[in-house]
Amino acid sequence: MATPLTSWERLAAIATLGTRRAPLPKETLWPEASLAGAANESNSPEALLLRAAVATWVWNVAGFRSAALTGEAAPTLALPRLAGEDTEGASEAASWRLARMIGGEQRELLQEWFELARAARKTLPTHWLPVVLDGVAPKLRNAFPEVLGPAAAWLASQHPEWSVAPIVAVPSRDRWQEGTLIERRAELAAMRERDPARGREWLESTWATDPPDARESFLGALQIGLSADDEPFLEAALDDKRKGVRQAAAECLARLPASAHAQRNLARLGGLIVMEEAKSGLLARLRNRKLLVQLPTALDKAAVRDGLEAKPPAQRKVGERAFWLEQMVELVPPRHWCERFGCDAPTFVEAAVATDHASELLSALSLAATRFPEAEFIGALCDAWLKSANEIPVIAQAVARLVFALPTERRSEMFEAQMRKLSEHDFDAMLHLTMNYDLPWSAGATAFALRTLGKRIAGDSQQYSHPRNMLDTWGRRCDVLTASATLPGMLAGADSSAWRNALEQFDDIVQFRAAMRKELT
Amino acid sequence: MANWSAQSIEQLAPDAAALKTAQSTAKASKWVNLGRNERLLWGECQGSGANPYQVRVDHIDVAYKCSCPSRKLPCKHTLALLLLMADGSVPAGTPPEFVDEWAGNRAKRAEAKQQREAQGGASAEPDPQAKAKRIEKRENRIGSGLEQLQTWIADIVGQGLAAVRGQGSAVWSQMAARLVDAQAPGLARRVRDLGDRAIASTDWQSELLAGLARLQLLIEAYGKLAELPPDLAAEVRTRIGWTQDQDELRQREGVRDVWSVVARRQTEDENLRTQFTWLHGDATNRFALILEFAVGNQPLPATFIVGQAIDAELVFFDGCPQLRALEKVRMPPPYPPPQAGEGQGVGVRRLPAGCDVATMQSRYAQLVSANPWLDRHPFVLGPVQPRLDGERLSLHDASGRRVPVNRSFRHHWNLFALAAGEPLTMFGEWDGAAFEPHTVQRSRDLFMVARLGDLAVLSKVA
Repeated sequence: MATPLTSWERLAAIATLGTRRAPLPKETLWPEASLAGAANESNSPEALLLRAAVATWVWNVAGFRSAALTGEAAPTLALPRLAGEDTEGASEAASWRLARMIGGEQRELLQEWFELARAARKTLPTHWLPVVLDGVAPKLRNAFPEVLGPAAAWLASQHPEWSVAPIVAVPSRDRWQEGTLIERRAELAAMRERDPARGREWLESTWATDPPDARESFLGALQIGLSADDEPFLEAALDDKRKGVRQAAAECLARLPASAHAQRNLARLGGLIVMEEAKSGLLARLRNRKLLVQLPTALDKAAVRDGLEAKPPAQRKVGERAFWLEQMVELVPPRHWCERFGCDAPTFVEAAVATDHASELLSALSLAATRFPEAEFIGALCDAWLKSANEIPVIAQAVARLVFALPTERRSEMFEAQMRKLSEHDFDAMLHLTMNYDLPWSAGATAFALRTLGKRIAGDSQQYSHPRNMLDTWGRRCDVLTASATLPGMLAGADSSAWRNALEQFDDIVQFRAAMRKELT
Repeated sequence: MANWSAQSIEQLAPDAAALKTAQSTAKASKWVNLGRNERLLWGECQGSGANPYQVRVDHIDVAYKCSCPSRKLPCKHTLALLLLMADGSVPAGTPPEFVDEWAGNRAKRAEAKQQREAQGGASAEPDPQAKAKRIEKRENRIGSGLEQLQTWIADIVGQGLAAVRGQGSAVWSQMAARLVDAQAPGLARRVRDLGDRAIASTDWQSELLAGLARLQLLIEAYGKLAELPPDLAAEVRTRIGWTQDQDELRQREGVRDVWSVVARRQTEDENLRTQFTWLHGDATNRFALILEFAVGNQPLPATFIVGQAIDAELVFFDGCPQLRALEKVRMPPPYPPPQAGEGQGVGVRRLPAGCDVATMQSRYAQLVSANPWLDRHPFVLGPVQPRLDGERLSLHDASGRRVPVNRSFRHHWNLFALAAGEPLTMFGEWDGAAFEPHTVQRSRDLFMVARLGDLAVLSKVA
């Protein structure tokens, strides 16, 4: 049943049609004596309607009162608080800078802002959360749940398009079983950190009913705390219906050199790669030992199950059999070869690049070295890349990947060493390396890069713009203290140089980062 | 202004882009001859030209001059210099010649102005007869404009709102133009607004009827000004488009009080930017609204900083209720500290005590019954909890009464996240149907509803 029209609605209906079309019944007018006078003196129906409307309108507006909610109380949305957290709110200046970055200024430094905030144990004040949840990609913000704080999950739960990774203090089985995919992966990762076996049991308990996307994502978390105990489970996952799951399982198994998977791979390699015995005698010792390489003749079903691909990708110019060999070598920890042939890493790498399959072996060994990183091997491979016939950008990229794979404590040193080596080639080679290395530089690397740059600027009479545009990247990765001490001097000396603008931009970025640090400590 | 913070400089910037470039210019390495004293601030910045730009700022009266050709004022050099000072990077010193010369000229001009004013209004006042004649002429024009408007309204109601809505926007803009010619700009604006609503509003029948009915009432009221109470008569004249002579207002005795700056907001309409600043008097417990205008690239003054207080004498414009005011005299600093009982060293004043929803609505009813054309009126509402009903935010008080937040308000989530389950107190405007927050207080902290480029943000007042 329709509710009867209010007097305002009746008036609006007449006005919508127009008084020439709709008659104006007396009872429609607001029936108050005070209006009777008005009705008498003005005889046009338009004036009457308007007078009634304004009186009704004022009456309604003045009389409007919100009703108190009775009965069921509206649900209070209590914010869960984590007790005992030793974090504090980020300052308004720091948050304001974050918002500026989200708005487009120096956006590439967003990740660094979050890293600095995490290191300083700062939590974003809640009123800035919507800006971050709207403006920062989930992939980035989900890596920093501590910075978003406990309120972020609470807030995101109210908004249809927001999600955040939870801060997992103590992994909870309930959240593992009932959470969203992102939450479940976070719970699993946290459990693997604490107790890998329990984590695997969790995974096994839901595996049969988890959708393929979830299975693939969870196997990624299994790399945390990976051990031989995980092997039976991973071995079974090699028979999964989804290719991504099989690949993720093979990736885990490849990182377990004692696994049956690894042993099967070594058996397949068998005698395909053999090194000449070291000869005694003075002359023979000076001659390098040779590596003899044979290509596999077939790829059986078991090999395909273990994750080997039969066909090379369309864009690669490599024979099928060489491609099989390459994949097999990729799975072997490089140290294996040194132990097997009784040689050091440089000897083996040199022998490998002296074969007919130099290019495939160099790629495969490099990939294996990123899986099983080790400074000696990585150093030898970098040298091999430098001597290879590849183009500079390809070499720089390969070297950067190798350095990147090293454990943190060895990285900076190796990066600086490779920078020096490439700079002997030329400035652009070094530049290419720095473009491919997406990690912060040490003070030493920064000082060296700036010195090299200074020489290049001094000797530059060309007008290329390419390398100059790359300096922004330097600004984002260099060591802030070193760069802010050096750049003003370089700027003063580069007054009339074509590099001046590029240097100024470089300096702007460094100053921005310095300010960011000041605000987040 | 003595205490420049990054935030007060941000308030001075003409737009976000200017602030951004200023930030990269605010590096001591780009400057020479930096210096300051208790009133002046100066420096030379190497720009793209051959000679460095000379920048001088009076940081107490907020006046500045830069030799750069920028048409956007204050320019990036001026802002950068202020940022450097706020940062503590400008050493004390003795002003160089180019600064002294400028300051000297300014002082001379100020003196000359004072003398002119001291010589009395009589000589400045043009021929009173000519003035009366001008007013009479305008009255006649307005009179005929009102007649046209009345006929036009009757015709719309006769044809029906639906039919008129179908005729497009020309109907409204033509009438508005005629009212501008009739020197009734207030009415012209109302008609133009109605035209916008006719097209954009979902509830256009109701909004058009209410708007037209109130216009008709305004026309009738203008014909009976003598019968109205003086405040309401003044209100009617203002709404028609008469302005009150500010020099005359300044002659009146004002209201001296300690005024807290509770909110500030800017709007832009074509080429005209308007700045609204709301003040609240400690002793008088009343609100005052200061309007300031700037055309084109002119800067808006930054003499009021939210969260601070001034000791000043304000003169209120006639109106019902009296709200709009101008600052007649400002007492010299130091300005009063924040209210007693707050922590030492907290430089930000809190909002005055809030009222609940029922109280706000009752007060609004009283105001509407005295002035049927009242639109929006400032209130401090709180403590209230923001709640989300779907995408709409509403504010609930302790008794469970709630009011919706204005539809054009873009900071729903910011406000909701700020509260995080705690009650808030907010200063804003109530228009009878929805509340629009301008300043929000959460426990001790004050936040301004602000924009950063396109981003809706709440900015903490420091």
